[in-house]
Amino acid sequence: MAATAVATPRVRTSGPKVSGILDYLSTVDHKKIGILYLYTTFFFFLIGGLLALLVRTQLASPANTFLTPTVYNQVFSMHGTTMIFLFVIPMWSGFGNYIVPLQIGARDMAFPRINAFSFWLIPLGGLILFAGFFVPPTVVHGVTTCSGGPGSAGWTGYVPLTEKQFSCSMGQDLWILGLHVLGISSMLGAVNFLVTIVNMRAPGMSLFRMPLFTWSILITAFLVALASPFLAGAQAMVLADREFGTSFFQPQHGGNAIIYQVIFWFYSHPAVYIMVLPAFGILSEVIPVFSRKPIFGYKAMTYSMAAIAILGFVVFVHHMFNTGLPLSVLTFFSFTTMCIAVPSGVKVLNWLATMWGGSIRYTASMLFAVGAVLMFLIGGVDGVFLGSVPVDFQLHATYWVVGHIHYVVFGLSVFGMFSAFFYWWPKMTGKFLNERLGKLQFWLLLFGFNITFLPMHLLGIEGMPRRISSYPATKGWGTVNFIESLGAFLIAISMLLFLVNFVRTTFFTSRPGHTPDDPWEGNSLEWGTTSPPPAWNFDKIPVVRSLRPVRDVRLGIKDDQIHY
Amino acid sequence: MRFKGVLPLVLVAFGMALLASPAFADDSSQSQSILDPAGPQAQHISDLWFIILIPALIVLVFVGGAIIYAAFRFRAREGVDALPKQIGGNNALEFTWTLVPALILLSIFLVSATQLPFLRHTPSEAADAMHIKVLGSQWIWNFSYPGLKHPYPATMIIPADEVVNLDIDSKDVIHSFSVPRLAGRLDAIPGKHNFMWIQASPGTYYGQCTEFCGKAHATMTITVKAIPRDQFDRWYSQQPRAQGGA
Repeated sequence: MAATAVATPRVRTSGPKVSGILDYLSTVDHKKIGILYLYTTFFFFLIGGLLALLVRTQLASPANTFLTPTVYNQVFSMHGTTMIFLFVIPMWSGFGNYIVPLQIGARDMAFPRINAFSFWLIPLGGLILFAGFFVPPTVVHGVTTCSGGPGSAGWTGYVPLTEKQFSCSMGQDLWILGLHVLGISSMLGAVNFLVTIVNMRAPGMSLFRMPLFTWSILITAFLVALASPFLAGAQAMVLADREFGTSFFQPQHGGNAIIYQVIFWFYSHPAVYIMVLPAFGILSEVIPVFSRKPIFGYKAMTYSMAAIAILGFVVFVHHMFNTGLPLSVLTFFSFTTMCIAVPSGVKVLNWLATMWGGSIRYTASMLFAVGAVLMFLIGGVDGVFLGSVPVDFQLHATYWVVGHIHYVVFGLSVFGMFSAFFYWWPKMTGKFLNERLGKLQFWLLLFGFNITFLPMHLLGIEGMPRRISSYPATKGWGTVNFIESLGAFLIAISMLLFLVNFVRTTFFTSRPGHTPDDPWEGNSLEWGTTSPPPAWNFDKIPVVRSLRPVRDVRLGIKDDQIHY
Repeated sequence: MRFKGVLPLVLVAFGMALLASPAFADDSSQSQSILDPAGPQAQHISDLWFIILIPALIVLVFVGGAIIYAAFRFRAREGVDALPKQIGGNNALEFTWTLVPALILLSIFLVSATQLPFLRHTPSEAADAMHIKVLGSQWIWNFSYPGLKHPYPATMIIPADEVVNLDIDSKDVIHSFSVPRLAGRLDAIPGKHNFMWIQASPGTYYGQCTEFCGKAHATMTITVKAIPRDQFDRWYSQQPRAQGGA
């Protein structure tokens, strides 16, 4: 048998009995914390989505006055900040929390209490960020001296714009503090994942028998642990400039405004990979299972993720091609940027090869996975244009870039998230999301997404800058913007369908008499326990003899002969 | 497939949107298109964009096409339950699809990087060309000419078909000078002097600040009027002089 079992004592079954909400408020169980993460981050996803709808409504026609410039700047800044720091990054911590200990055959994360702490910092950070909306205007003798409101300098918060004299609202301080809290949460979470994955794998699970989702979370955790301190440092310096009279970034007092961008992007470029690597992991779980084949090029997939992570630290200056850096610097970072496209291409081709010759079952999860691969392909190809320095001189900070980041982070990570929801929902809840609604949602999202973001490339070519609150009719951007805004509402409808699906499944569907442990013919250990798993995960800690232990048991395979 | 009904509907809607788009025919009298160049820099970048478009489309069509083909061709057949052939990888394939994209990307890199000196260094035959000081501030661009008393807000007048040097600075936050039909953008950064050159055919060109700079960022526009040399000289001679200036 490929996966035998050794008896180990259960961890802890006694203790005060609490149930319902109190249980979730006090839990240190990785599965419940994972679910808390997912509820919280999905809530912020909806908030960020509403902010996006405001943006798209404002831009739907030329010279629109739906939002004032001040409000527009607050809305787009909080849209980006929410989606990145309160949704995508912690959302993957949610899946990682639930799935990784199960996939490696562990009973919990290494530090359950730190785990709970890092979760509870997320709503705290969110509250701090959104408290900015309640900062009132400052009025001195009937004259408004500061308009108040939340951080409104974009999610990048470039200096000197975020210095006190240009962003007077306390909302900008709250924005910095919120990012600090969320950064602490990520870093604690990352250390927890690193220790868990390195130390707590089931007997026999060598590194190259780890499922690719676990690999992706391991590599992501490395990135978070190494990069996040730089964001914290940059924001701490801005805060000191604003409140404590330092002048790190104030050129008139000997500071340097460019250094902020260097430090910020040293975090924020790896952060893009923090947002997409777990999606790579999901696709590498879902596509083989529903193609009924092993992943093609398992080692190539791990090496390419590692290569992307390492190269991710040496491409950050491509966000600064227009700051007037020496040509030698531009040339170097253009080269590294081209390099990072190679492992990304390897991933796409290996997913294609996994599907090739398979017997593909189109569940909603698989549809989202294939959609994610296609969207990532587009987001990869349009990114190559930006890696070319001269073309970036023209396309940087236009809607081409907005399209590019949404193809990568929305097209890959959000499609990947829905793939993961449909895939792991029965494992997490014991119930199945409705497949028909899921497929309808997929097609709506696919078309809504492309109607919204594909034309952004056209706007980029037409020279429309990002982050402008309105534009005159004479630029010729009106029609395309209008079509995009229609697409945004299609996306919103597809999200409503998911909410309907969620409510229907959660509140109006009863659990099947017995939820199968392994409904999709899965490979990895999470499918080897009940759905949902007991608090202790496994009655007996499994022993792993191959990359696909659960499949080996299901098919009675003694010795997996597949060459990976 | 249960979704036969939905898919054609969405496709039709998408097609209609595509068909309808040219019918709107927006007024684009102030175009900022990067593919409608009116100067040598923008011309080079536009050409380069089309060069990169070729491999980009080939990759999109072939890889995207292969994914869509595989997605349809290899769907599970009703009543067939046999496992497909279990293949875990192929090193020759991995090697090939690492090397081939690397070569394509390397050529894109080389074609791009070799353009950089032309784009950033003033052509040597124009070493004594005029310098205009470009100063970004919230939320207006100001253009100062050598020997003239006042800076000129929002609109820059230059002699056509000649190299003009721009010294770009900022008074407060970071801005970015961008007139896409003439050249790529360059940031105006407080405490850092940036430098670029442009050259324009006769005509009027539009641009704006492209680095988010606060409340009225969207209205921080640029107009460049390129007029023949004799007209430019006449205009220049009529302007108030700086005291003790040239």
